[in-house]
Amino acid sequence: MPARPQRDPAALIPLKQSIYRVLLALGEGEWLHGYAIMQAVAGLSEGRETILPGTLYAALARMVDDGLVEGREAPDDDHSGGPARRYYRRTAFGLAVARAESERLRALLDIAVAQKIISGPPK
Amino acid sequence: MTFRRAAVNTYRVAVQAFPRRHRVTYGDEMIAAFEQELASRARGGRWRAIAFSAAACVDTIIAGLGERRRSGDSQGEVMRVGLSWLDVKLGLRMLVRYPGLSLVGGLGIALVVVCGVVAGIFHSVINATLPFEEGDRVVAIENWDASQNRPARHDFFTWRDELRMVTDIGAYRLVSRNIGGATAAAGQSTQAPEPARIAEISASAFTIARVPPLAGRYLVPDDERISAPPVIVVGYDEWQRRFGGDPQLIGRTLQVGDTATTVVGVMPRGFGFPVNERYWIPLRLSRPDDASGLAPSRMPYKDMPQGAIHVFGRLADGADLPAAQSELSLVGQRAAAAEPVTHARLRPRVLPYTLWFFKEQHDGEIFLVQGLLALLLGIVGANVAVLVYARTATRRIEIALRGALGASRRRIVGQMFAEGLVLSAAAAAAGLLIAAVIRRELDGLIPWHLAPFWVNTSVTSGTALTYVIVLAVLGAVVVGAIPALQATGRRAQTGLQQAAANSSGWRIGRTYGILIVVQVTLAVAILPYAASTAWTSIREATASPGFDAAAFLTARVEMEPGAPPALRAELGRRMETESGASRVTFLTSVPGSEPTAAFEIEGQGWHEVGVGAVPADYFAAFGVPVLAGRGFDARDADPASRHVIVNRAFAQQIIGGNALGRRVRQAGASDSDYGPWLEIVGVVENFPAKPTRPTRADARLYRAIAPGDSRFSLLALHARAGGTAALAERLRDVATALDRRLLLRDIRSMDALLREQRIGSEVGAWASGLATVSLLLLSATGLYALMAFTVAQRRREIGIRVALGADPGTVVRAILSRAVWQLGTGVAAGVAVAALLNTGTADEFTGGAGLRILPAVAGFVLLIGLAAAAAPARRALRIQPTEAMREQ
Repeated sequence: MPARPQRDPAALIPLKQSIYRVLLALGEGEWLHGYAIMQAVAGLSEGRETILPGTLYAALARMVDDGLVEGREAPDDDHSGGPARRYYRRTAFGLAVARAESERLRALLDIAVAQKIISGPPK
Repeated sequence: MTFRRAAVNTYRVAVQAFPRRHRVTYGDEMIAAFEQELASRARGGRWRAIAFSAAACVDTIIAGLGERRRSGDSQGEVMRVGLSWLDVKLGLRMLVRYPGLSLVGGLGIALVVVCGVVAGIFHSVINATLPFEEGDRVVAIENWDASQNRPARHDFFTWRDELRMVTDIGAYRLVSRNIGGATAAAGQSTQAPEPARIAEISASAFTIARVPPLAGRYLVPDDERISAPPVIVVGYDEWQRRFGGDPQLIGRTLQVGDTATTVVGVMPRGFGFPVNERYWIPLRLSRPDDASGLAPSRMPYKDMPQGAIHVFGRLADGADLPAAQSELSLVGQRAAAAEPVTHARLRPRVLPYTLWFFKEQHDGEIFLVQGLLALLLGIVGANVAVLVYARTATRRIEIALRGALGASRRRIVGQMFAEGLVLSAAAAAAGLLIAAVIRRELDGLIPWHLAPFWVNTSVTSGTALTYVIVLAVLGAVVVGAIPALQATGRRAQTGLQQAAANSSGWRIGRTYGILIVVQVTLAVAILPYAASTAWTSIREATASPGFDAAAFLTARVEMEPGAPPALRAELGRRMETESGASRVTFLTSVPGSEPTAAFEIEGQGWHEVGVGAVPADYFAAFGVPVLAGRGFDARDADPASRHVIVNRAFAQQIIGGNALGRRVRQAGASDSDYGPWLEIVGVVENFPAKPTRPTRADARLYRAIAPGDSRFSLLALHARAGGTAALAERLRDVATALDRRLLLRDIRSMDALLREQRIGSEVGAWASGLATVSLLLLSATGLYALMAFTVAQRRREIGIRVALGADPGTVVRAILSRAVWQLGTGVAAGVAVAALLNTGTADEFTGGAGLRILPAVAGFVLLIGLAAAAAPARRALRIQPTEAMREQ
């Protein structure tokens, strides 16, 4: 497979919330299937924020196309049952994009703190 | 269908919103993720699962349509309407802009949804699968007697030995036994015994069900040995109610009839196989070859010991129903060749268990209800179609304008579909609410707890919800998409100018006019029946039966096998000595519910009449007045007696005059076989008394039978001042002290018993009343929509006529002529149909009211129809001539 040309993470910023959440839910080097990602997203906020399967798979399709995640067939030791599932992992580019989006959000957060909309550590 | 399966199927449809490429890659995964999350949410309750399913479906449709736009894959696909929230908002705005039409359209869809919920529940009852793992593979096997059209005795052992496509073949029969309280050993319990229905069942039932016991164990094949110690398994509900959820129940002894039986297990909540059982004991059948040494298939059929059992099994791995049927037919053919006398006419068949259960008991009723529901859905659907057609027709200029301003066809169709979806979703919610209210009202009438354990009659059952969703989407298509497609089609696009100038370009077709006529016909034809049924039911429910029924205590008295027949009479004798009872009578049936038989009245042909087999003191016991001749005396109870007594309805409706001395005889088994001639020696008042005019169905013929007759199974005790409650206690005590093999069931006052007999007609009255009201309402609204559209079409013409000085009366007549013609045709046809039905059923159709009710019914329908037409007619007269001219 030819190497994907280097892209600028900033080109994808701002990220859709669903994509950002999936990037956060996929830990470093971790391969997860779709339902595990749904659970991981809910786990990020102790169940306050969830992602429904339609939104998740639309996001995953887009993320695969954009090179934010990579997919592979289920490993041989997958005993989760049901249809053969694909597993997904955050790519280095995905990490870079998540980092860029986080920086953007942090900048916004800093403004909110400065304007005393919320409290927080001064920059 | 389970809720889970219905939800997954609905989600599968929602996934179709994604482009094909996406579905191929991710479709299965999405469904798997949905299923897993659904299972997780379902643990939090049904409503959480429903909310998740609805949210996930909407989310998937929106995400899928977004994905289509992103990939540019919008050509040649089913869902290319491009739905957006903007469309939904526009839809809401349009609904508010046309409130009248939205309301009637919504009402129509709501009624369709109510019918859909009923149909869904009915469908789920008929086509349910057992709530077991692979419950759809559990089957019933039976020998169907083709000549008698009923099930015959079953070749249980042969099937169990020879069938390979069906495994774990077992059988059950339902028996009644007194069950005493639990004791540590085989001692006496202080708890009074209670009669209960018990399933005598093969151990394989539990392996088929694959449901583990809650405590202890279930039955095992060893328990089926004749010499094995008696054991019993208790159901969850009974464990809680009767034994207070006692964790020590396992190993204790219950007195089951006259047998001390050890409790070996408790089954979990919701398990009631084979019907809705709470106790299971092993079925102990001796093999036919045990004694004779003959192979089962060689055993003379008459000697087979299986008796009235029902056979079940599970399809073997890899086998399907047709394969099992082929194998069973082969076995049946071999049996027919070996035993032609008994087996030649038998057609062994294998059916899904739940289908078999309902087919066996309610085959005719299933067909009837399905037919009625289809008819009702058809009528309501046709009305809704008329409504929305007219509704869209009034907006065609707006649609044409939007097209002229550059809106694409796809955009217009999408927006109108969204509008339809908003309307049908709101209507569906209202329909569900109405269905839930009706269901709650029916709770008081129908003993749901007697229904088979797998039946889900909830309005939120999976199948019912699937019906609702499908009908709501269909409603949106009918309300929005189809008219919009038609309005934007090539024919309709011939020019905005033509659409605006030639308002007769779009006519309501002749079909719709005929539909209105058909509706009115049906309403007029059905209304007499519905009205008389409802009226009769209300009067009967509130009327007195003509005697103090509340002072009588009744109980069904049965006996376990082996109990001496004289026990029943002895119970009666002992109760006569009780101070609380003033009179003891045994009956064969509930008064008023006597079975019917064909009787020939000398010189007057054959009639189907109710026949009461009664004790000689029957009329005296209930204070039934003798109107002519005499009552029964002890000699009439002699089997050789040829004397009968009839009631007033018999004398008036069948004989048509003096009945005394007339002779009657009963039909026998064949055409040339008759009973002896019997002489009518007395005429009594109708009993129980009816507030409504008696019909032929109320005719009764009474024969006295001897006191010891085994048909006397209903005990009636007249209570003294102490009341029936105290007497009921004494009855239980006396029966227990007399013999534990006496089973007392359904101990209640005769008042309650008579009320119970009316449940069927009350539910029927409710259903026919609701159906008729819906029909009338829809006919009126359909007519209204049609008139509104007709008048809208003729605005210009009416305006010009008024401007030229036409008489308003002439204009109104012109407007109404079409409605009057349709109403008149419909009413005339309806009156003719009702009159025919009434004559054909000898006044039964109108509940004895005869044709006198028809003018009132016809007048009522005409009034509704004219009222529906009057409003648009009045509006037409208000059209300003200048306004009408300007439109030119």
